Amino acid sequence: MGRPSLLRKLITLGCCAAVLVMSLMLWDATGRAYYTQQFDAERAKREAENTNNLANLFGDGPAGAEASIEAVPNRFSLGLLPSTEPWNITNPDLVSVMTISTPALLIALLQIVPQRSTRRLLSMIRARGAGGGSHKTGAEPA
Amino acid sequence: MRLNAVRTLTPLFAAAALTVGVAHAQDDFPQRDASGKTLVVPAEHAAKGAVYYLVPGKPGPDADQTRFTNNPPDTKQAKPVDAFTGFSNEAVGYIVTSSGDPQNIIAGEFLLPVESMDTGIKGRNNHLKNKTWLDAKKHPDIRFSLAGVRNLRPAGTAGGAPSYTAELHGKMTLHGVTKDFAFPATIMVRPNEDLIAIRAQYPVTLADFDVANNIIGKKVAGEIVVEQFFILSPKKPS
Repeated sequence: MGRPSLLRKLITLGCCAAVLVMSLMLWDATGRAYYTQQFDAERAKREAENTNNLANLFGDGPAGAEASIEAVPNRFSLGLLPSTEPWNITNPDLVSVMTISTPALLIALLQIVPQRSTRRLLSMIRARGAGGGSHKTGAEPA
Repeated sequence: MRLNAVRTLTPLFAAAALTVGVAHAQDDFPQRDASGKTLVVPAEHAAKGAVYYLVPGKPGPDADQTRFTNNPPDTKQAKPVDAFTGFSNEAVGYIVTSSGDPQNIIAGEFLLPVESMDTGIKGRNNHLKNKTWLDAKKHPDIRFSLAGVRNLRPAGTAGGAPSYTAELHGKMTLHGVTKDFAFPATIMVRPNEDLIAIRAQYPVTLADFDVANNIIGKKVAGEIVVEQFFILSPKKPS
C-alpha cells in the first residue's frame, strides 16, 4: 500500500509542478503581461485594409527619435491574471497563469495534506450537511 | 382641471426638451462627409488657405495614429498591473495652412470616436466607454478644434523633411466639456510628396473634463498621456 501510494503522490505532484512551470514559461514567452490579452482577428483585418504606409516617409524625428508612434501590438499574451470575471467561464479571457495553476496547486495541496486530515475535513463537512437537513442518517464516518 | 393638465404636461415637456438636448449635444460638431473618412470643410475654413485632410487609418504597420497611456499614480492602491496603453486609428479631420507655407497651420478640426479607443482588453474597453468614464453613448466623439499655431520655429530635418516645433492651440471637447487647450507639437513637411505630419505628446487632465469616479487618482492617473502622429494630404479621402 505504501509504495504505490507514494508513487501516485509523486506523479501527481510532478504533473502539477509541470502545469505551473509550463504556464509560467508561456507567460514569459508571450510577453509577460499582467492581464491576458487575445489576438483580435477583426482588428487585424481592419488594419490590413486601412494601413497607409506613409509613416516611413518621415523616418526619424528631428531629435533623432522615431517620428511615428510605436503601435500597440495585436497578439495573444498569457497574463498572470484573467482579464474577465471568474464567473465568465466560457470567456477565453479567463485563461491566465492564475486560473491554470490554481486547480493544479489545489490538487497538489490535497496530495501533500495527510489523507487523515482530508478525511476528517470531509466528514466534518458531511456531518454539517446532515445536521442542517431534515433527518440524520447516522452514517457519518468516525 | 386645466391646472392639473398644466401640472402633468410641464414635466413631460421638460423631459422631452432635456432628451432633445442630450440627443443633439454634439450637433454643433463638424460633420463627417458621406464616406465617413473625413469631415466636411466649411466654406469659411476652405477660404482661408490650403486644406490638408488627415489620411485615414494606421500610418504604418508598426505605427499608430493615437496612443493613450495610464501611468498609475504613486498611491498604495496603484499597482504595476494597472498600467496600460491604448490606441485608436480612426481619427478624422483636416487642417488649413496658409498657401505656400504648409507648416503655418491656421485652422483645423479633428474628431476621435470614443468607440474606436482600444486598450487591448474587451472588459476594460467597456469600462472606458461607460457612463462613469467617457460616456460614449452621450458623447461619441472627442473634438479638437484647432485655432492655429504659436511659436513656430524651424527644427532641422526629419527623414529629409523640414521640421518645425510649434504650439498648437484651440479648443478640446471631451465628455461634453469644452476647454481651451494647447500643446507642443512637431510639424514635418515633405514638399515633394505634398504631405504634412504632426507629432505631439501631451497630458489630458480628466478632472478638467468632468471625468470623475473613485478609481481616478487611485489606480488610474488623473492625467492620461496622449501621443499622436497624424499624416495629412491635400487629397480628400474617399
